[in-house]
Amino acid sequence: MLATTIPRPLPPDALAAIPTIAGVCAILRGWGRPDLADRIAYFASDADLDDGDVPVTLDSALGFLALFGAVDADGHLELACTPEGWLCAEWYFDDARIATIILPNRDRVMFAARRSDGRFTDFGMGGESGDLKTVTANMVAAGILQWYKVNQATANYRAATA
Amino acid sequence: MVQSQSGYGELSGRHSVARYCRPRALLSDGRPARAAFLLRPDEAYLSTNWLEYFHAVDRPAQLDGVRQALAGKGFRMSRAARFAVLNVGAAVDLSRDLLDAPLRFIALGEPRDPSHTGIYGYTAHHTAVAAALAGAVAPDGLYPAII
Repeated sequence: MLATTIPRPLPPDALAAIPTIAGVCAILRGWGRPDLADRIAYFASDADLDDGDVPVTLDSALGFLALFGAVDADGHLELACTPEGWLCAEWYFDDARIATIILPNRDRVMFAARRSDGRFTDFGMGGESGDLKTVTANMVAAGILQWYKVNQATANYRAATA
Repeated sequence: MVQSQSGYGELSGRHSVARYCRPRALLSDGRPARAAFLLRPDEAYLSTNWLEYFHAVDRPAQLDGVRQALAGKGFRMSRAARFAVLNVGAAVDLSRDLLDAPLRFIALGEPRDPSHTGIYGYTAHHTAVAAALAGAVAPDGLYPAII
């Protein structure tokens, strides 16, 4: 495991203090995911923007950082971006499950969870959107994602601020 | 196609449509992400193009027709974008359990682009339908937007 001095998950006050997309990318690199950082940097650039599209928003990137910092998964994670600048995180699993979380902002998300039998579940939420914490918890409860085991930097932070 | 009196028509299951997928909605391996099939909040339907409209000899020729139709409307395609081909019947089947009524693929009868087809029956809130549509794209159903 990569040693890092950056807490994961990131404390809420530290997350809220990140002022730029570059800051989000720096955190992801510190967590050993330069691939995700490069992808978000691409979405933040003007490259391949179609008419009417906007670059990824900071609010969406912060939402993704909160999500990714909190969870782990056996699946392969891919990122895309909507014309509105919302990140779309998709986990692909070997057993054909696919988890999709779209982040319009750091609080509300839209989701789709495809089971291995090809059917979808709404976790009994009566819809396909909800607050990030609830959707994440439901994905964990369903065994799609796992909570990330806090790293030493987070443990140190929590001990210092307890 | 079932032709209505207004000139619009609903495509039957044996027909196919192509969805223009923006580069940012493509995964690292070039397949379309679920985001490629999401509706925007103000959209009533998902824009696609009906491939059999062109009466072309094969799929590449059909897609040439789509390229010309989009270019004729002034639509600027990105070099890194792709067309994803959907079979109407497969897409309807994969989304059937997610909606009260089946998706409808309706050729809109636009004079400047008669192949323009809308996928009706879902909204910007139906993330799982967008996921089902993305899942309906066959591995060999992807083509460059610009050749």
